Amino acid sequence: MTTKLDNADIQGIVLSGYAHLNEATYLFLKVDSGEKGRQWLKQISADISSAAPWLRGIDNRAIKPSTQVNIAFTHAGLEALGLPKDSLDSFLEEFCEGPLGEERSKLMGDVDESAPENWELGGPNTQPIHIMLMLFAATDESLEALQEHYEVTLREIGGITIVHDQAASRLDDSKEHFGFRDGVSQPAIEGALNPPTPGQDVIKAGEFVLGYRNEYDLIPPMPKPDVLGKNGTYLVYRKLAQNVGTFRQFLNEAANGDPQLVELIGAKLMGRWKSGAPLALTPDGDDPQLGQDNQRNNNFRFAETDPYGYRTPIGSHVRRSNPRDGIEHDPTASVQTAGRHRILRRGRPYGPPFNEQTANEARGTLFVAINADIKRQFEFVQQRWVNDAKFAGLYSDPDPMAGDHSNGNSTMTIQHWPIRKEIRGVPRFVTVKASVYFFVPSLTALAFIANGG
Amino acid sequence: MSQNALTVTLKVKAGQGDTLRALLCEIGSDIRGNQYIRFADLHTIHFSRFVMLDNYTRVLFTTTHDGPVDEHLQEFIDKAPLAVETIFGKCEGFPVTTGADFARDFKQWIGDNSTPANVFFKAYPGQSVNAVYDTIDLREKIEALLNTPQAEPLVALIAQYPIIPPKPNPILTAVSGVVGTVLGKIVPLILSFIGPKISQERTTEASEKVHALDNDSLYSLTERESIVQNELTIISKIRPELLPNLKNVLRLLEFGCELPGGDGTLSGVSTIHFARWVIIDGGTNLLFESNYDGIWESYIGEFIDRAYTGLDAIWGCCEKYPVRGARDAQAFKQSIIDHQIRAEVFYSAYPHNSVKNILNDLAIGQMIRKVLNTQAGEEFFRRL
Repeated sequence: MTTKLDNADIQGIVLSGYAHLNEATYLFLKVDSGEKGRQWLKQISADISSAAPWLRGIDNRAIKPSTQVNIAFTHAGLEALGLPKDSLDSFLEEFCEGPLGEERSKLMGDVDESAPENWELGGPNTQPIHIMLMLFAATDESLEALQEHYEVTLREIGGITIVHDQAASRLDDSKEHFGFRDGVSQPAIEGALNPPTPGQDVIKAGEFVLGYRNEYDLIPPMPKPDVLGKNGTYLVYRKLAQNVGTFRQFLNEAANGDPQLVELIGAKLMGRWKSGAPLALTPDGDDPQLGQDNQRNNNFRFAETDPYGYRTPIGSHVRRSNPRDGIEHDPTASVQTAGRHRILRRGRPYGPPFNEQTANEARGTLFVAINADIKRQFEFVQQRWVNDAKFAGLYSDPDPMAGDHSNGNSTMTIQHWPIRKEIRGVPRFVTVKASVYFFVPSLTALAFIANGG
Repeated sequence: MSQNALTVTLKVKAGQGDTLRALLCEIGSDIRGNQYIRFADLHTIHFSRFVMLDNYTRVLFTTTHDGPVDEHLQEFIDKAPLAVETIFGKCEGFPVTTGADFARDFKQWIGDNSTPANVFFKAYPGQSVNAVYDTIDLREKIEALLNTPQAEPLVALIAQYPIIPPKPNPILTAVSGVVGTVLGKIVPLILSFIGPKISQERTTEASEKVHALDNDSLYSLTERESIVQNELTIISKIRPELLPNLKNVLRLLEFGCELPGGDGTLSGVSTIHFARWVIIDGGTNLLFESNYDGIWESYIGEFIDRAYTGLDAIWGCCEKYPVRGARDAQAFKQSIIDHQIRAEVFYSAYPHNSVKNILNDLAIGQMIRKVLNTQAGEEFFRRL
């Protein structure tokens, strides 16, 4: 029996990254009056976009909406909105606590400059966040209009403060600031409308939406009552500043200034060339056509063709954020394990592209992950795969792109015949600026919350 | 050198429980620098822990040590006299004699209160603590050498002669396929035959909804988690009618662990340095202890993914085991949380090295020695 997802009840951002909408703003709100908050929710609940299939025109092509609006809540937010205690206590512990606590921070790599004390948002020294209103639009103008509309409704109703707003803007060719095409590999969701592309793992819906079977063939715990939990999910938001200057300087030094080697070492750290073409398929040079071709750019495995990492280094970013069949001795076991720790990525870049004039401006990724079990999915990937220097038998190699290298002893091992190239003293390229855990309710649950539970 | 498992449970003297716990916590919070035990000076110890049990009325003391237990305990007496006196002195039956008599009586007393392991898994059997240190050191030196300019000509030379990837040997592949089938199909079959009955049925929708984990307990168990190595101690009550089944399952497992040519994994779990199952307290309780790599979530998850049949066969003989076994991941994790006890003291001789690191270092060491030590090596250099 295949799973049938209740698309019309699930928020759009859960099942789609809105590839056609380049601009976004996230408004972070604080609810000062529960009553006003609920009133506002009732007022805007009809605006919230669902994952229902888009209408088709007479040419049978989907008419893609030019704006989308989604909403998510922190635990404190649900409390401020007056959700009863039974319900509040029924959420995942990680969600209730947020991404804080000394031990968790250590495992997550949220230390030193990236420590919660230094965050712009979600830390112990910043204002509480209750709601994240996500606005997406095709153009700057329509985004501005949308943002203004919500700012006006919020002002009119009162009782809710905009604590922070964060703009995101896609770069050319779906690239992130280090220059690599981003978001190439995503899991396919069983029962979703889009068929999987070649090489894409089909993951049970319960890994991403509550109320469905997960990769253990179980229906995972849900917030109570069911009307609140079903078709909802959890969202991890992290603002990751990218130190592009440091990254480029590092590559340049590692390559002794040889521009071809700069490209190669960059690709070795990432596991893909800048175009998105995987080293697994084109180890000797970039292939932009391959990079853009979603029928081919994700269609590869590691165990048989590259067990030792001669093409895609064992410690490269793509090999550790989704190890596919290459993490255990047995490829089948690997695929099963990897499937139990996947996330849907909905990240977008912020800040201007890097060049001489903009070098000192802030830029990075607004990382967004969707998952049903924050601890087993997002936190596991971050702690056990990205940040673990011992990943897959390595010695002192956290993720070269996204890991915590603050102890100064990080290496990047590039497996190579006859001997590996080892780059010692890899600096930290990504600084955590904010991290907040949210709950993304279904549309039914949103009405439930708006009515005070 | 042989690696051995010492498992000791001692009764704490009346009224000394809180003091002993406080002392152990003090040692545990500064495992390398505390004044009581300079663990690093005790060259026979791979891993060790102290765990307070039963409202601090008992203490569990275990070591994974090299060589005969007699020499191991002698080292303890010689190098950690303060610990012997302050920790063990708070337990009932601690000998009051002195000098050579004390050493004899102490060993006798420890022996009387120890229980042999039913199953003892070793990822790198035969390697002493010093051998592990040497092998780590050797690899680090080779790595450093490879990064120097002196290595470049040799590297360049070898690079001119590319490797030809080995073709899989069809016979070996077939053999390993058969072995895989035996291990994958037959062992679970035997386990399900001799082990307890675990429901294999897919139950109805409603009963498959699982409850959220008791994370408060989990956090208190794992709040000191380190990224590289961690400890797990579980004590479960054995269902008396299933004790014979449990013993059979453990015998089979021990047989498997002792077979030569192991791949360093315990039923496919590749993150365990040492583990032991010990039936303690006269057959009423099952102790499991492991020294593993990585975080709890990952370790327990790997156990469930790789070895749920084995888990069911063992812990299905104990009380309060999930009805649907370890395949019910959430319920299984909860049952671990319910039975896990955090160690007050946890020591590792090489805390920065994962199992995979050590196995790799050992392989490097063996290869180098092959060239340098054996006849083949001599011949190689003679021909130059």
